[in-house]
Amino acid sequence: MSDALLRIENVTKKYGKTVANADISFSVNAGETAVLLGPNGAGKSTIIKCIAGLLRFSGDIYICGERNKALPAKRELGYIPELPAVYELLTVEEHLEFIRRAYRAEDDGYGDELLERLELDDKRKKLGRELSKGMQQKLSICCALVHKPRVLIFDEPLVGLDPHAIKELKTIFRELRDEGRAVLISTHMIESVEDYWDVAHIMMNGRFAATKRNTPEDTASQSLEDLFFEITEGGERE
Amino acid sequence: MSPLSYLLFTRFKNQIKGIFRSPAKLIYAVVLIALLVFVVIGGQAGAAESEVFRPSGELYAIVLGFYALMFILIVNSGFSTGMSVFKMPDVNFLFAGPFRPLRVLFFGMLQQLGTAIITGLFIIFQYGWMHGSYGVDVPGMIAILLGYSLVLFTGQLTAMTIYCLTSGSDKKRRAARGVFIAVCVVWAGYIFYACLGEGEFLPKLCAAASSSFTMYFPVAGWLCWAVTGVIEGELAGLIGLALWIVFCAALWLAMAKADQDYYEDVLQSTETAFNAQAAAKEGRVTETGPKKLKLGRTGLGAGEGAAAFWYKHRVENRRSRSFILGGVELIFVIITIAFGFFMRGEGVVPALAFAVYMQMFSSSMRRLPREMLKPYIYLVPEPAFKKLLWCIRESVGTFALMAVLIFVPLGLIMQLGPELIAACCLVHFTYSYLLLAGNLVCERVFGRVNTKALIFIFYFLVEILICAPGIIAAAALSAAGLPLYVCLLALAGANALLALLAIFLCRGILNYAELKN
Repeated sequence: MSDALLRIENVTKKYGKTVANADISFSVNAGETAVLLGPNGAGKSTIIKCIAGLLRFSGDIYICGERNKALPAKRELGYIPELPAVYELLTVEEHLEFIRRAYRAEDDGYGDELLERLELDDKRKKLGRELSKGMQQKLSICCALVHKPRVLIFDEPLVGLDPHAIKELKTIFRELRDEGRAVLISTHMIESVEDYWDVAHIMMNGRFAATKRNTPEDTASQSLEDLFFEITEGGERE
Repeated sequence: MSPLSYLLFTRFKNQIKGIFRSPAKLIYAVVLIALLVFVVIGGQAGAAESEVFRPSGELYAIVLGFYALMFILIVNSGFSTGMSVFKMPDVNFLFAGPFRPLRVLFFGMLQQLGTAIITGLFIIFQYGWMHGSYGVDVPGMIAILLGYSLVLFTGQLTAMTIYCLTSGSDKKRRAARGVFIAVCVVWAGYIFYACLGEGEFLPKLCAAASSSFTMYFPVAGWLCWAVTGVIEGELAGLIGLALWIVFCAALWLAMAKADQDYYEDVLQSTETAFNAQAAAKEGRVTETGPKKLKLGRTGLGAGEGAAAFWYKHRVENRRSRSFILGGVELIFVIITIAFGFFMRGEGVVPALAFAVYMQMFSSSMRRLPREMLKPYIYLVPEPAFKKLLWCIRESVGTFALMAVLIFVPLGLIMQLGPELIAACCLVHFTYSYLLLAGNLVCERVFGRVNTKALIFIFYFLVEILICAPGIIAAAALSAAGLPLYVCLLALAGANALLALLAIFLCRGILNYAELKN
């Protein structure tokens, strides 16, 4: 039995006749950070949304051993969408209160810590609609983390963030891995994941074109960036 | 052909072509026309039995009240957000193009007139009772429809002119608003004063509403006067029409002379309208409410699990100043009471049927559609049915208050017993949820499909289907000789069960979303 907290098995997603994801299978173990790389339109966001339960699909997705639509699975999932999802008429701290209550989580001060780390602590009384896009993204991240899920999926999390927030978020990624959580990050910016990934899946046309592990042997032969450009500007590679 | 005429003609031609290219639109058009014909023919047939009609003054009072309400509401927006008769492509192509501003304005007015006429088509659906009770014939109904369209059109033109002429100066805006309020107060005050004293209220109200003084009320009064002239065959109606023409010409001249460069003022309101339309097309729902809002008390305060949504909605509603009843709901309440008032001789059932019919146009899921565009409602680990119920809980107050506001006054007017008033309130309340459930069924079936025409037809079919069992049960009990309130209680019970069943069957809406953005 593997210790995969997130398991995706033969997932296919179609929009009409367009195949956005074709028979995708992979898993993310506890204490592992996986990244999905690929050009625009490769199908990264689609598989992320399938995992979050926001899209219909064929195949199976398991979170902590439960189907992703089941309530125990939802309880263990944190999702950071590509476009920040905040409520216009709630303040920053009310967002965190709402999530804590909805997930029936204790107020152990973790929300305050997140607000401080992402420099939102002085914006507690600001409404969602008064925040800039970057701040909304930070708030989205706080909302996904505050109930301490064991599986986290990030869709282009660094877009729109300021340098401090990017640095802090990268630190958070490492902490999540050290705490034994499974983290999946979708991005098209290779340089943003260079220093903290464990396994990278390069996607093209809705499929996995290559999978690379961050081990000395694997990276010595070819860098992730070289592999990415070889695939996206060349052909598929097993 | 001039470029502007070409644009107007080509747009119209392409809209007609578009109907034939899209099966859903074609079906919608055919069904709509069939319904209109059915309503007119059905209305004609129904009226053959009764030859004695109610006093026509009542009808003119209704028409004047309705026109005035629409005109006041539209013109009022001229003091805040403004109103535009243009669309965004007009701004991009015509404002920047080699056209005289006056010609562009005339083009915008013509375009808006077409939209206003289409908006007024719903009046045809009122033909049955207008013909049956007041003997209104087809030309009369067309006159009422045209009058309504012209009220909308002139209201928008007035709002645009006010906005353009006062946008640069708070002093001017306050002065214009003062004049506007004063005219409305004098008009309403006169009607109120005329209704005081001894004698029956209704005849006095009708006499006041159709007096020459009230007919001089800008636009609404003039057009009502013209409509009255058409129905009664009186030439005096031409005075109203002439006043309206002079008013429109004056607005046009005011725009032309006082502010040749009206583009800047119109631009903002056009952009606002465009952004709202774009957001609606993309499935984004932006919060309405005041620009500068008061934060007030912070925190949800209570609610665990799915209940957190309801407590969140309370905070959001307080901040957006969404009161239990909004302006639209209040208008529907007033219209329904007016209908019941005039039809009081027929008993409470026609008023109840009319109230439910009006609900079809005012039924709203409030914050639920907004909630469904954000991921949290899908992510929160609670049963979907429970989440749906907590999300629609905020409607309880609105639905209950609407029912009470309609049927308590009507009950007093019709001298109904408390048990019958309570039964009517309950039926209205349960229909609110039944219609809401119908909306959910459409969402469940069509998801993010944007073919409004198809959804509209399906919505009506679903409503007919889920309303039928309760009506059949009530009719059966009535045939068995049971008192009316018992039949209505049975109807309410059936409605409640069916609404719950439909919502339960639609719970998958939160499990199988297609949230692309």
